Amino acid sequence: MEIEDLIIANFAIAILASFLIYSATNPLPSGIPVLETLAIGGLCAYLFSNPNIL
Amino acid sequence: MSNKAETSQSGIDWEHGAQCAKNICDPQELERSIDWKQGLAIALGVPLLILPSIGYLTSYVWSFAIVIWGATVLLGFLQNFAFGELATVFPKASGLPGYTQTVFGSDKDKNNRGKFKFGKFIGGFSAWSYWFGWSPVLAIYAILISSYVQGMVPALAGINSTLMALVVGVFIFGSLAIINSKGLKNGAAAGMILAVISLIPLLVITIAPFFTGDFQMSNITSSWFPTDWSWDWEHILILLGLLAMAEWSAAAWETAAIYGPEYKKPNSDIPKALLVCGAICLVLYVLVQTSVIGALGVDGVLAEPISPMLPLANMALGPIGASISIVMLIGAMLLIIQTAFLSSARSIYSMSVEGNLPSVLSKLNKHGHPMNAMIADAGFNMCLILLGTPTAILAASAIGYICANGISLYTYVKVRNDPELSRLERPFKAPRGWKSVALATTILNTPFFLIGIIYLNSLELGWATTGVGFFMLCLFIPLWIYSQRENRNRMPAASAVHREHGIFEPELVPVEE
Repeated sequence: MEIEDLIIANFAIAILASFLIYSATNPLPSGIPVLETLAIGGLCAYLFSNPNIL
Repeated sequence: MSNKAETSQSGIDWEHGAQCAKNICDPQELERSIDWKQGLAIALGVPLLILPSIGYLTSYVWSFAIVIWGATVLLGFLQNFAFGELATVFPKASGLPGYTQTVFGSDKDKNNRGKFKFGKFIGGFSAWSYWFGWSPVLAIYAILISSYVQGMVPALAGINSTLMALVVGVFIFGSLAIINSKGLKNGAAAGMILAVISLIPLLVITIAPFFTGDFQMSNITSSWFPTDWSWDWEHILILLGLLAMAEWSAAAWETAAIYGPEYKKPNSDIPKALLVCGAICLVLYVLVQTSVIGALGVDGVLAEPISPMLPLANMALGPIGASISIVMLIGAMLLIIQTAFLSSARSIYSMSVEGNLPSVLSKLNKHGHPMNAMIADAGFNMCLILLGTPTAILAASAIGYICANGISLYTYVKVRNDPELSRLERPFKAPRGWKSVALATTILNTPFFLIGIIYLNSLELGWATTGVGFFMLCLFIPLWIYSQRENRNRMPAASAVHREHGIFEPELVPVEE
């Protein structure tokens, strides 16, 4: 593994771990319509653009 | 009459003059004008970075803050031995941002062959993170000075605090820009004066409680940790975050290397300035925290978390001590601004020279000083002052500093691993096996410190701070894309040759005794 890959891997670990900590300390407030729209909309958009995934 | 004949008769070099008129003789490199003592004088602002964090660390870990400061300065030694070696391998590079851009941005690197130069991006991002770690110090301390001045002079108390901070900012940034515009020598002289004004009173106030009998060892030994402290994952994350915050202050003496291209004898001046500054930091950081907690007790520090030096001065020196300490604090803040201003402006200059920021920022004035970079830096900080509440920016900037430190340590590992770079001459060598030490410290920085500081910020200031930090770091992407286009449009071959020669060919530096 090259140094550049190690740097990216370490940053990815830090960001993923921070997301985990965030979700552990701040559960997603389901009442926020913007977040719901983004999450469901994003999922739908992904499924429509990859119809063979299912 | 030929130009040469004219030169010999009148003593004027007309050919050179004609070239100057076409801007060919603009200084292309920083002037080598300082020795290690002058570099040290500028970097002496670093010991004073402890002042705003004394109460902050104490509030989380009580007396254990002493151990954190000591451990962080020692960690700084582990890191800065590696940076000292890099400084002598690349004497033209400006400190941490210079090394990363030089090593990762090389056109010979296979990561820089395609349209998207990945290595160059990493080098530039590290330099940007470093700049973001240092630059907000200007705005934050300008706001603090303005609030101290308003507190001292009742006639100014009615003025809007943002307006007052803007006026103070314009005055301080303008004065420092003028002082430094004639070369780093003047900056070093200003740094020396400010260091004497601020460091001597700081030392007197710190040592006095040991002689007056106010220092009680039991204040420390009876309160190592808060009563509700436990070693679960949340507290370990807090500890990592505190270490990261402390590193922003106590390991920042790497800034002595950023004047690498301006030292007269870089091979010996840089390691000397680094190590002496580190030794001063080790003594002062531990001594100041020990004295404050030993004399005031944890409760005393927590009662005055922003400026615990004030009650300490009152206790040790009487009411006059408080007045002295305010003057001292203002002097200290000016010195920190001076140190940060020079560091961040050189980061901008270094990024621009390497083609990671627009080229206008690498223009030097006739004294070989990066004035455009300084003006841009001052302008950015004036915008920060407008925000009024700099706490979030301060916490966010620590994220940038940790990223820069981590990538810079990877740079050292890359240099030692690379078959070509490892053959370059090393006038100063870190001890044997330092590659493993650097690898361990870099993993400590990213991901561990980075996770810790993000968690600590979320506890202290909410997740918006982390958002601000990542937004500022991501701002580099559009600027970098613009600079890449600018580079492609202007003599790509020439710039590449210039860069490669600047990096890998030995530079003629003065012969050292």
